[in-house]
Amino acid sequence: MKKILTAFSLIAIPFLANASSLTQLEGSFKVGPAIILLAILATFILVGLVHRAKDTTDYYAAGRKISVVSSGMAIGANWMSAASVLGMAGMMYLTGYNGLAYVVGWTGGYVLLLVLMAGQIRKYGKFTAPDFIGDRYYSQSLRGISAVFTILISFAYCVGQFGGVGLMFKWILGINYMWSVILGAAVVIFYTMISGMIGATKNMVIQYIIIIITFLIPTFLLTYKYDYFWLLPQFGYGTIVSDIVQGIPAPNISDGVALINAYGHNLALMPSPEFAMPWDPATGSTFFQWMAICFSLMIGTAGLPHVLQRFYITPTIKDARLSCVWGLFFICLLYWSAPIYSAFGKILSANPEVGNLASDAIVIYTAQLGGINPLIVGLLAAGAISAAFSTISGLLVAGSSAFAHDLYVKIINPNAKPKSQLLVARFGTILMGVTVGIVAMFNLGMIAQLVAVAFSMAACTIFPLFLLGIWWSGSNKAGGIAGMSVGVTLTVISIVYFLVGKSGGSLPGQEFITYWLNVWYFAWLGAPLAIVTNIVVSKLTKPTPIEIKKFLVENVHGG
Amino acid sequence: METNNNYDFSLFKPKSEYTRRVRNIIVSMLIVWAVAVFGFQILLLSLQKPTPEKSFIAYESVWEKVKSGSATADEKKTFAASIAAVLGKSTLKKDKKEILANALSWNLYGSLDSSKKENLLKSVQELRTSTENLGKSTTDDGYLQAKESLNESKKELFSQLNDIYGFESNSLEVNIIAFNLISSDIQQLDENVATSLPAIMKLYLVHNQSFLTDTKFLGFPFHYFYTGEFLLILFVLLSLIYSKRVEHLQKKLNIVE
Repeated sequence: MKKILTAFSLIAIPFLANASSLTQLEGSFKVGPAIILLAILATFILVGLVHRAKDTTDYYAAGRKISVVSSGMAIGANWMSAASVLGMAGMMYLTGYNGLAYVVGWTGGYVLLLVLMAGQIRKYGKFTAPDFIGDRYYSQSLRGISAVFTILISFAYCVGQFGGVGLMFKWILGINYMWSVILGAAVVIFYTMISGMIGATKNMVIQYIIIIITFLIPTFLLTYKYDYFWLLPQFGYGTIVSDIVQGIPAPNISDGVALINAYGHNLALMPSPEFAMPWDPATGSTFFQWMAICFSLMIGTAGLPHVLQRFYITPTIKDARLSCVWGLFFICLLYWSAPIYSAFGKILSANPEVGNLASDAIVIYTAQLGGINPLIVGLLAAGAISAAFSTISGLLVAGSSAFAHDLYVKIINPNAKPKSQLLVARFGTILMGVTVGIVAMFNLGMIAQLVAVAFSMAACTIFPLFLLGIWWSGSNKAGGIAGMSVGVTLTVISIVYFLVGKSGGSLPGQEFITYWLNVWYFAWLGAPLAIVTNIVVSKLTKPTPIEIKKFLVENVHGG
Repeated sequence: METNNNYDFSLFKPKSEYTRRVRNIIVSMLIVWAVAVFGFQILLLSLQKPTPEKSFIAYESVWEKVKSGSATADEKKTFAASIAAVLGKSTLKKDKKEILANALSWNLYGSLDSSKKENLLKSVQELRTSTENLGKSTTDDGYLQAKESLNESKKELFSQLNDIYGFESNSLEVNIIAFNLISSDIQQLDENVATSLPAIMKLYLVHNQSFLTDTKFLGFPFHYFYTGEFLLILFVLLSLIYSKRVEHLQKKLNIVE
């Protein structure tokens, strides 16, 4: 096995690998990775076309014909985005233990999703989040607001993804970030327009397999090459973390050979306990921030419309639960592995000659600095782009569907013909794609942080309505509207303060709000407040109609 | 007759034996989940103690003497090594890096005679130029040439620094010091640098530690393993247990969903 790995790591196809890419982290156009990327995207489109859904019913029913394991992989692919593949390792590289709040938050939320939502959503029998909210709260206005927030959440989620696509296009094409985002946006909009509704679930299974394989291969190669426990790198990297804490003196000799990075620098670093110690002052993070980020991401996970949507289409209620378990396992495979890149990145980039690296691209830089074959690094980059593309495509479709179906047809023009609905959806996709691309150019934050905004928004607006809507028959229309208003208000305050701060301005209490209601984690307060408001107002106003209570007791919680 | 109250339902007010038992499963799962995630972090917080790195203790032992100009050569070396320990951290902010580089350069240049200093400043400048040229190279040939020139500059500067400080050849300290030295002479310790330095050193060299962070488990610091590995395993297990328990309960009570 070791021989296979060695041979694999040494495979060289010189005509595909640009020479300067062997010695420089950035550089000019990389032919090999570009070809790999095109091949992967073409595969997705081809598989999609082969398993093309004939109509909307077939599209939804497609999820009902596959096993729970495949369904779990589809959940994994749906979930894994640039934030998971690139952003998480970047956060841990930069902020150490603080980054683990993202790992725990993005996985722990699935437990909430499973025990509080998955089966019950499936039993309720609606297909989109605004549909559920509009029906459960017998309110067109709540349907409308939740549709608007579905669009905004998708939008915020997409901004981080476009940032990831921009970084990877920059790496592959050797052009500047702005042009990378423009080109990436054009390609992803084109990809979404032609992939749209095709063979979604089948495609997602293949996407998952490609993303996870391209992500895992370098972890085996790196741990093998640098003499760590390579058979299970997810556990083997523990020694690297301890080495980072204690420091590695130079030269670092293993079996009589000095361990070096691709530049020829010794694999050595000064003791860096801040990488692993909790909320280390050197990273600028605090205990409160760790808890707030983790909590916000967890409840945000259980409130994201495109995640909730996966459970409407499982074959049975039991399958909804088991799919969630498998989905979580497949997601964890990636989340157990992402810290490996940040740990290796830390030691491989420790030499001052390496200079400052863009932490969001640390996964790629680590593989390069580790001397991994350029084609395998290319595969890794293509896998990251695939992850971003599949998520963006799903989010653009979800956002434009909310616009065309939940707003245009259900509220603005109930007599709209299917053709005009399709036209509105396509227009919505392009408009959203272009706008997201423009916002992404401003490079407002790290990928994981930008995506965290979407989670806090979902946690403050959608999550309370689902939680109380399912688990308390007393939650009524007035309570729902009041709770939503509180969630929206806190969202607006947090985002406004963030944008003013970013533009160099200052509002009253700027520092206070920036710390306690930061745009990355404001849901720690927003979600509980929205829930309490919903309960109080529901108690004081006209009760929920008996038909809805009856439906909840008999159909959703029947037994 | 059906009344509104007949259908009042909540997680804490189940309507049947089945929903009561499901409620119990959910509540028990959520308690384990919350305690495992947040309880552990609270425990970490309650046990943590500010723990200095060796470099911080070394720095504190020589700083006053270095500042007053009465430090010996060994004390100056200790000081340089402790500054290098912070300069080697990737979390270091740019403004703080400048202060450290200033202190490092002042400490070094102040202990040299004029000819040595002149040579050293020349080598520092050459290293800087070579590094910049490497970054600017766009072709493979240009890159290789710049790399060669950089290696020459490094060799020369490292050799001078090793002569002065006596660090081991190719040590990381020499590398860090070489790339952070300021290329102009600093004869006086800037007052702002002298005032800011202790706080910067403390910020980067004192960490929140406890027996949970110092104990090793499968190679990891225990708390890191618990949060980054175990919690994820626990989440998968909790999800599996929940699904199986609900399934088992449905079979037992003949519930068909």
